[in-house]
Amino acid sequence: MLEIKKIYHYYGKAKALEEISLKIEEKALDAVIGPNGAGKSTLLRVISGLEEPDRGKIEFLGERIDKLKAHKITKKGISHCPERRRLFFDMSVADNLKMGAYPVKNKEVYKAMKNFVYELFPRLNERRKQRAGTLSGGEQQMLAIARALMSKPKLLLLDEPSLGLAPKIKKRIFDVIEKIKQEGTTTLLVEQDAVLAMDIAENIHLLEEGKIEMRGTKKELEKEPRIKQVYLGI
Amino acid sequence: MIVDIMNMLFNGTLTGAVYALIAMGYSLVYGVGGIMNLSHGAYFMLTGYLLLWMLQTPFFIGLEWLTVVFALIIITVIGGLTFLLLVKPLQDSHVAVVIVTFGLAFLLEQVVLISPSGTEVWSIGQLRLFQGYTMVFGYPIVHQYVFLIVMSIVIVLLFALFINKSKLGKSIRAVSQDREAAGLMGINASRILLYTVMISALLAGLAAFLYLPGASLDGPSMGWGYLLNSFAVVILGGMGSLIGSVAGAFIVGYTISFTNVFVPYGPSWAHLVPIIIIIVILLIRPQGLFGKKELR
Amino acid sequence: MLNLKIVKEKMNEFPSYLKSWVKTFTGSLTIFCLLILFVMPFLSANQSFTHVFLRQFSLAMIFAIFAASWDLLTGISGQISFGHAIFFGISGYICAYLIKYQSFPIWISIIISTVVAVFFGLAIGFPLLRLKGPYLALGTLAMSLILLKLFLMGSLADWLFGSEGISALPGLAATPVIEYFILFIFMILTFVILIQISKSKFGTILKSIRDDEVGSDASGINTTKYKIYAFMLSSFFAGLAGGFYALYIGAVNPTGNFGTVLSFFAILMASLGGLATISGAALGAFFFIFLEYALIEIGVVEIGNLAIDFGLYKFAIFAVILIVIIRFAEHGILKPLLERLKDLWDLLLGR
Ligand SMILES: Nc1ncnc2c1ncn2[C@@H]1O[C@H](COP(=O)(O)OP(=O)(O)O)[C@@H](O)[C@H]1O
Ligand SMILES: [Mg+2]
Repeated sequence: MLEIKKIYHYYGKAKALEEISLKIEEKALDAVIGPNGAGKSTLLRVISGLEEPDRGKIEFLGERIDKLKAHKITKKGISHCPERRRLFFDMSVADNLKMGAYPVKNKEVYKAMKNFVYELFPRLNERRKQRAGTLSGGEQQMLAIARALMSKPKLLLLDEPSLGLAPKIKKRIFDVIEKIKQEGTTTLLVEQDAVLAMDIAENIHLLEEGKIEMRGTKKELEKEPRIKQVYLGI
Repeated sequence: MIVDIMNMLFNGTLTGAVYALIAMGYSLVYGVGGIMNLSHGAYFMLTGYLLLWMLQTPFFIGLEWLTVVFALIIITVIGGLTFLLLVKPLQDSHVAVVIVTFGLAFLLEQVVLISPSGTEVWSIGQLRLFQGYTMVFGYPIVHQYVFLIVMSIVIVLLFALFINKSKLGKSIRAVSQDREAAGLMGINASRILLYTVMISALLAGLAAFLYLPGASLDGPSMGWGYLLNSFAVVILGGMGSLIGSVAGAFIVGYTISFTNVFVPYGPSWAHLVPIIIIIVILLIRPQGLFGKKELR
Repeated sequence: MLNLKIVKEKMNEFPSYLKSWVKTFTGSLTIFCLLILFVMPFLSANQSFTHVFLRQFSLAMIFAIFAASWDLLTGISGQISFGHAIFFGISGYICAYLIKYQSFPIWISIIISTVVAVFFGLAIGFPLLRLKGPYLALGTLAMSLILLKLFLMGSLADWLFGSEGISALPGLAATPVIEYFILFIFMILTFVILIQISKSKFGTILKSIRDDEVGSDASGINTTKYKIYAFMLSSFFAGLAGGFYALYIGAVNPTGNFGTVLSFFAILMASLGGLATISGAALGAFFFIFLEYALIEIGVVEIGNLAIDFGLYKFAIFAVILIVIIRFAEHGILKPLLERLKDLWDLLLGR
């Protein structure tokens, strides 16, 4: 579904991504793990068009998207739930969701998506009139994911959905991510918390200093001594 | 005494109503795109002269209302062109945007100045929708101005409704709160900015249409005064805050009319009032009375 | 002691430094231009030449100083000023007042008025420094408008001379040729000083504040202090130009010396030459003054049955030039043009 071919990205002269290649199959749930500053967010930003890659190709459903602006890519069916949520804090929960559904022209589809996300996160339904800025951290993360789902994406990009959340809430969020996957949405998850990510992802890519150092299924990676030591803490 | 008070209250409300319209758009453009558009005052001035020029054309005799439609369309298009041709390509540099829109304002002023009607004072009184006045406590309340005040309130309310309830209005707010996130929603921020600048030009044009027929066209340099006073209003209310610009407009309006009526040599000091407001507010509370954001 | 030694070494190197500078493209071109400017007054003793054409050069030199002062503040230090007429005007007024009403000698008046301009730079720079970017631009614009309106005010005419201003001032010198050479010397001094400043450590600090104020602050630079210095330095040269201008015209009045159009001229000239180059300001000023002169000389041109008065259109033309430059050539047009020439020069010399 998504194919990234030898992507490079620089911030000024500083290299953030180096020869990244990645392929995501339809209906898969892939995770990119790696330490802080590895380039995980940059990778998602490059895919969703917030940054233009300096070299390389990105194809989505057989079409090149690496030169497109972010709003065009969203309309093609990629939805990026950015790091630190980036909600419209002065707007209500319902309006945030409405903005998420910006590309959706069909009223019926919009209603269906709204019902779907409210079912996924009943808490948001209770608070739909409340301003996004007044929600708790966990609720904000739910809203961010819900907002990203509203455009009915073919591919969902999630950047550190567990950031700054209590373990119990993290668990809840990850349950939902699994559910979204079961509903058939292809997902690329970026996460520092390797344990959580490896639990739900089918393929895991380890990103370090802008390069993919290792990849495989949970079973394969668990055997690697370095993964065990650094990321799983065993 | 009561006449003076009536004078102050009525003129303050009038000035406030005019500046609410002009400043609202100016503030919106800055709030949404961080664009300081120095040609905003020139839009107001130019609308007045567009109306004048069309009224002078025989074609429009008996079709005066059509001049208003044309003038508003033209000024909205000029607003859009300002954004597309000058501001958008320079958006990354605040300095460049400020200088280029300063240059445009200067150009529009000069274009009007070298036109045949550039150097005299003109009236476009044909466009007054209401004639005459009513004496209230010995002060003449001009009907056209009452109409202006009512229209201004209606437009402000409609505008608030538009920004808060319509999809386009909500996208404008989304872009102003987080431009990048808005892009991820599929919102084309550039297009939204274009609409915002066009709306702001339209509002300035509407203000000109409502106010100038009851007053006069005092020469093409009047745009600078309106720019500076709008800046005072927006600085007072807080850049990007709608309620702030409306409140700021009336505060500036009453301050000016108070100076006019009650201060010795008032009319000449009244020119200075907005400038002094700018300097004082910038120095003591740069985010404005209602603004949340610090200056960028 | 150490410093003295370095200074001495520099002094010894000086002739050779100058020699090698002269051999560079910029050096040769500058010397060439200066030579032309130097011989210019001797070309003709004709009244219409000295009193009209030559005086255009004098005017260009005054504006070169003024535009360079703006470039130091906005181009080099990044503090946008839309109110540079403040310093220009206040100095002109003080100078005129001292000469006319206090019978001060011309040079004492110029010195005092320049110092007053510096105080204005301090007094205005200090409170406005908290403002950034477009806010500073409008803050300075507002300040200049306050001054303009105060000076225009009829009720203050007893103190500020109202819209009439002060007129019938003596000239800067007895003849246009002497005036020319005085301004020539001051222009050279101004540019030597400002260019040296922009290349010095002080100039580097100003540029670093312009490019990244937060970063400069973090690395221990007292940004407020340096910005105030920039304001004062800039107002010094703007004041100097303002004093000369008052004497050049022989009169001062609110719109002629405080008008927004003067601030616009400074911006236009410096942008024409190329922002943050200092020397570009001189190129811009000469180009600008002679363009204006040419437009007025061309006057009314009839194309078919359409009569276009270029003299009347000049400001509109300037505005278009400014817009086009900022929009398409943020680095100015004159400086880059010279750089292309330099490439050609290097090619010819086989460097
Ligand atoms: N906007 C930016 N400008 C400059 N450097 C950046 C920017 N964003 C990220 N970086 C740098 O790029 C590298 C990768 O950052 P990021 O993609 O955010 O990593 P991660 O998400 O894995 O923590 C880091 O070294 C970071 O400092
Ligand atoms: Mg990250």
